[in-house]
This record gives sequence, structure tokens and C-alpha cells, in this order.
Amino acid sequence: MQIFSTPKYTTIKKLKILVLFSVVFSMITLLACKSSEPLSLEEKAQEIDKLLMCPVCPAETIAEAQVPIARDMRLMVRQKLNDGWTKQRILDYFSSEVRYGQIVLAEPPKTGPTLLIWLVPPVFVCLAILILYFTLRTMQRAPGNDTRPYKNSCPGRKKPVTLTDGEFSSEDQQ
Amino acid sequence: MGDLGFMALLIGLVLAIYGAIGSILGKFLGNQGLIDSARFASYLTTLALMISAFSLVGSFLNRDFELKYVFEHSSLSMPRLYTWVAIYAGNEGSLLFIATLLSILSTTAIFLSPYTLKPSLPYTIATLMFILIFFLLVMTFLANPFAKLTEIPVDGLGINPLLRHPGMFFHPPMLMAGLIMVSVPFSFAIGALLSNNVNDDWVDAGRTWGILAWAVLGIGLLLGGWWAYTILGWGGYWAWDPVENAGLMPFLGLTAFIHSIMVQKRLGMFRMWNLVLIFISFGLALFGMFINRGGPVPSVHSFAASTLGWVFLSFLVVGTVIPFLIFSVRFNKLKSAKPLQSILSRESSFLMNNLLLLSIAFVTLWGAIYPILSELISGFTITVGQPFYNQVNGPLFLCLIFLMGIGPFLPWRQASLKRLRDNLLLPISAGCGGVVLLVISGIQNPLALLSFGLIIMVTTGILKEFIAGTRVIAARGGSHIRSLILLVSSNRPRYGGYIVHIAVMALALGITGTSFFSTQKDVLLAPGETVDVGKYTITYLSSSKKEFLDRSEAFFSLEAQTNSGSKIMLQTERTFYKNFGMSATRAGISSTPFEDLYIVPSETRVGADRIGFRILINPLVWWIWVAGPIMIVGTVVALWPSTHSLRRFTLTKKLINKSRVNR
Repeated sequence: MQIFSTPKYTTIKKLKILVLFSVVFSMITLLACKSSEPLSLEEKAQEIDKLLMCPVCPAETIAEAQVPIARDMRLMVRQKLNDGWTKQRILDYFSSEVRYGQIVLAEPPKTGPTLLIWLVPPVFVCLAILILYFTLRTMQRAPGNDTRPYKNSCPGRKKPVTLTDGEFSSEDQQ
Repeated sequence: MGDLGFMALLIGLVLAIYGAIGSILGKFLGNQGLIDSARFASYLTTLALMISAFSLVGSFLNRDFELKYVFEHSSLSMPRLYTWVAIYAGNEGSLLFIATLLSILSTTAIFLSPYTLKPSLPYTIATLMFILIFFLLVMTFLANPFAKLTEIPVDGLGINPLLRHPGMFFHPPMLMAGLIMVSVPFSFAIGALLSNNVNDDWVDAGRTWGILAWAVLGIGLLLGGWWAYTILGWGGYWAWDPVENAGLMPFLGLTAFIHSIMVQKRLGMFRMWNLVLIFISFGLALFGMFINRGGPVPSVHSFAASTLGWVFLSFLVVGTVIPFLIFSVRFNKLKSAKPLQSILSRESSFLMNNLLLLSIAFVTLWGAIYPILSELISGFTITVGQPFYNQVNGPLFLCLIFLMGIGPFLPWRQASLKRLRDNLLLPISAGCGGVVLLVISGIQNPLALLSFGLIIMVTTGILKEFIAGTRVIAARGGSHIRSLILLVSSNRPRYGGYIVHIAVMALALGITGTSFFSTQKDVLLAPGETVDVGKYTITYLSSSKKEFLDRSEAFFSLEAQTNSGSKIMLQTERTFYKNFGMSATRAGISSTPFEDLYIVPSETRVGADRIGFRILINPLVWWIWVAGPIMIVGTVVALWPSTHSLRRFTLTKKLINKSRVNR
């Protein structure tokens, strides 16, 4: 974009754009996060259906399974919601040890010993980022051992047109 | 014919053993004749295995129920066309399918390999043959496709009802092909490593076969999603099912590999890391095969479960440990050709890409393995299901999309922050502008908005690259179409890659639409009754039944009318298979790029005329399927040989002929 390379592109203009973006961003956040209409009973029930596994099917939630026991469980979910039960109470009801146990929950509870399952991924990602950072720093310092010319070169080969590298960009003044 | 098949299988095994041992011995003894004969033996395995495979096909076509496999997977009433599916419906047949495919790929890869790879080729051949030997040994001793029954039954059991779908003609073979194809770049890598080849000669073959394996695996996964969507009847296409995950993980590893192999090709860097990546991908592919066959985790795919679990687990361990052992001995010869010039560069963005992809693969692996570990160690069983993967992998995928938006504007070696900012201004503004428009039109979910914004940003960036490039070339004269073609031809890997990124954006669009904005209604309707779902008024018209020997099919016709008055006819069916005691459904789908209207009968109550229907409105699903063809186009462009590489290919052929004449 040519205008940003000319000398007239001053700090003031940059600040103006920054302010504009901040305003727009705040507007978006405010509009997006204003409370939406409450979910209907059926929508809440469908949400809970996706959180309970069908006890007799291999790896299907009661939302997907088409067997009688899944249908009965779906009916029970709707009945309990009608009676005013909360989502957590319904999940606790089905997962209590006297009924189906924890295995009926589609996701492990985020409290208690199963918290470990949820913690390991973020820890892994953070470790990976650290390793990456230190590796990049090491690679920057280590000299290469390029003792021979770039392999696979064939005489007479033309280099490809690459624009981002700036070779053929018409705005390349620097 | 079963005897012919088994004989051919054994001959293939002997040839493969000779191919493996002959290559290695020939290398040790320096005997070129031994090496050449071992290579020809490896070519001949293809002939042997194709004879074996065709014998199995012939046995199916002849209804030879003396063979246990034919008995278990076909019947007199099965149309002959389904023989193709029956071949890989069960364990023994799919092993034969994989082995035959591996042999064909091996012969092709070796035959077309560049001349510069001659020193490492024997090790590559040996590796491919060892993998083949594994499958052949399993078939010979544990899972013989040609095993016979003591009494010849009159009729077979028939083919699994879930396989009676066009998607099943393509999804399993493509998935199996993709998984076994990882062996090819893997073998080239091992070959280079073992022959002390510190040059980057294997990179071309590694990249080409890596991209091919990636594309085949990707199409296989997409086809699986399409099959699940139309036939499993819950309106979704991906459930983070263990078997789906088993195919996804090597796909992620390969995605990482095909990106950073570019750095090695261009700059001679990441030599060690690329080997690690292809070893991980191969290990994940073996893990995938283990999950598909060992059955340690329950899944909707359990129809192919077997007791071969331990065997495949051992192969997985061997196939992962041995390459890393070799690597640990040889790695100090693999230093990078150049130092990293700047942390802000395309090379390091590819490493970031690798980090994100491998993290997603790790999370998927973690979720798959944890229940097994937990059960083994503490006896305590839990489920790690879809919500876990969605919540943990979702943000990682969003980060990946963001990276895709920045990557094209990071040059090799060093990027200038100023230039980057200038280049990103348009895409980011477009993203923000798009989000504002969406909010104004009523969309409020923050995650969905973020996702849409990122998709707009990435797509704008890619289009900007195409348009700017076309303009530069068109400025020298010529039409815009011609300039575009010239642009793409000038750098096929890059622009093919951009096209694939567009496919990924289409996929992301569909996934965002269905994840956040699907609506579902379960209703009971008698003929003539109506229900309102979204902007549709749906009337259940009529039903009809067809009885066959082995099944009874029920068809339901419905009519959907939109507010604008247009009418859509939908037909959905539910088929009950007596022999298997199970039903399969076919959804009635009306699909537009905006949304799908999806109807499926949930259960039919015997005796009542009221039918339970599940009605779903799935926005933007169409884009998921359209991503497939776009991906294929991008892959073809990226792999299409340029005149440079074609010239090199013919040049090496001339060199070989010349050297033959001179001998």
C-alpha cells in the first residue's frame, strides 16, 4: 500500500488508526458479549445430551445414539430440566456411582483428580514454546557448515518469480 | 483359486525377504549385481501380490464360500459390485489390500527415484521390504485371507450393512492407502540416514511422496466425514472417535513435515528435525493401524476389531524405536547448512506451524491414550469425548489459522517488521470489518466471530498475493488470465500451497458454521402432519416399504417449504438388515452453500404410523465438502513438475543410458 511508504505517513496518522481500531474492537466486544436470549428448554437439553455418553453404545453420546436406552435418558434429561434441575445436577445424577458412574460423562470433570487430563495439554504447549524459543536462539548463534554450493542446482535454471521477497515488487524502494 | 492366492502370497513373501536381505548384503559386500537383483525381486513382489489379490477377487465373484473370508463377507444376494468393498471389509482382506498397495507404491517410488539417490536406494528398498514382510507374515500365520472352512456353506453371511454406501467405495481404501503411503517418504529418509548421505538428495522424493501421502490421507478423512454425515444419521461428520483420531494424527504429522521439508529444500536447514518429523509421522501411522485392528478402544468402527492388537503394537514399538536409534548414532553429521538469520522469518514460522500441529496431535493422542492408561493403572475408567477435544484443540486450530494469515508475508531468511505490517494491514482490516458486519447482522458468539474474522483475514491475504502477483506480470503485457497462469506456473509449490490454504479456509468455514449455529428438532409425525423448523415448514408426506431376502427398506418422503414459497422434496430411508440385526439410515439432505436441511428417521415404532424424525439445519456444511476438490487442485499444482525438474529427469535418464553404453 503506497501511502504508508511516503514520508507524509507520520506518527499522528498511525495513532489515529490505532484509536480507530480500539474503538471498533470495544464496540465488537460489547455487542458480542451482551447477554443473548436465554436458551429454550429443548436447546438446553440438546446441550446436555452432548455431554452424556450412551452406556451401551461404543463411543456415542445420547444425542447421537438411536437405541431405546439413549431415548429414555434423553426423556429423563428433559423431565428433570422441566422440574428445574440445573445442568450440573443432572450430570451428577447420571454419573453418580449408583447409576452409571463417571464413564457416562463425555468430558472428564474439571475438578478433582481428572483435572490432570485438562492441565497436561496447556503445560505441553508452554514447554514446547519454551523449547522452540531456545532452539531458535541456538540456531541463530551456531554457524552453518555450508561447505558446498546449494545442491540440486542445474545450469541454466531460472529462479522463480517471488514477490514477497521483494525482488519484483514495484514498491520496493528501500 | 484360493490356493493360487495363498501360493502367490508366499512367493511374494520369499521375494520380499530376498529383496530386503539382498539389498543390505549387497551394500555391505559392495556387490552391485546383488543389489540390482534384490531391486528386481522387490519389483516382482508387486506381480505376486497382484495375482494374490486378484485371486481373492475371483473367489468372491465365483461365490467360493469354502474360503472363510468370502463366507464372512459376502452372500449370494450381494451384488457383485460390492466385491470391491468386501475385499477390505474384514481384517484379512484389508491386510492383503494394504500389502498389495505397498508393493505397488514401493515399485513406483523406487523405479522413479532420482539417480542421485543410488547410494541410499538399497536401504530404502530394504526398509520398504521389511514393512511389507511384516504384513505378509501376519497374513501367512495369523490372518490368512485364503483360510478354508472344513464344510462348504451354501450361502455367506453377507456384507456389513454400513458398508453399503458409495462413500465406502472410497473412504476405507483412501485412508488405508494414506496410512501405508507414509512408508515411502519414511523409507527414503531411512535410506539417506543409513547410507551416511548428508546431502539433501532425499528431500525431493521425500517431499513429493510426503505430499501425496498427505493428500490421500486428507481425502480419506474428508470422505469418512461425508460418509458419517449421510449414513450414520446423527447429523455430524466428526466425533473425535478413536479411529478417526488414528487417521488424523499422522495427517497432522505429515502436514508439519511437508512444510518444514521446504526449508531443507531451499536452505539446507532442519536436516535433523525433518527426520524426526517423518519418524513421528510413520509412528503415528503405525499407531493408526494398531487402533484400527487392535481394538483397544471402543469405537463406531469396531466392525474390524481383531485380536492382532499385540502384533501391531510390537510393530509400532519396533517401527518407532529403531529409526530413533539409527538417528541417535548418525545425527551429528546432520548440522544445518546455514544459521538461522532471524526469528522473524518464514523458517521460524514453519517451526511455529510444526509446534501447533504437533501440539494438536499430542492432545489427540493424550485424549485417546488416557482412558486406557487410567484403566490399566488405577482400574478407574473415564471417557474422554468430543467436548474435551473441541475445547482443547479448538484454540490451537484458531492459532494455526492466524499463523496461516501471517505466513505468506514472511520472506525467507529475514522479514522486516515494517513490510510485514504494511502487508498485513489489508487482511486484518478486512477481518475486523467482516466481524463488525457479522455482529451487526446478529451473530454474537465470540468464538465464532473470532473464527470468522480469522478466516476472512487469511483468505484476504491469499487473494492479495494472487492479485498483486497477477498485476505485476500483467503490467508487462498480456491478459490477466494468462498472467495468472504464468504466475502460478512460476512458483508451483507456493501457489499450489495457497490454493490448499484456501481449501483449509473452506473447511474452517464449514466447521465454524456447524459447530456454533446448528439447530436440531426431534419430532414425531404422522403422514400429513407438519412441523416448523427454522425458516422451513416440513410436511411428512408418505412412506413406502420394500422387502428383500436379507433386508427390509423403508422410504419416507417429506416436503419442505421455505418462507419464499419454494418447495423441496426430500427422501430419507431406513433399512433393517435381518441377518445383522441392525439398521442403516440414509439422510435426506437439501444442500446449499448457505445451509443444509437434513432429515433422518430416528426410530420407527413397529405398528404405529407415527415416525420419529430428526431435523437438522446445518449452516455452511457444503464448504467442508467443497474443500476436498480445492485441496486436490492445490496438490496437483504444487506437485506438477516444472520444466526444470523435467529436464533434470530426462538428463539423468540420458546419463544412465550413456553409462550403460560405455560399460
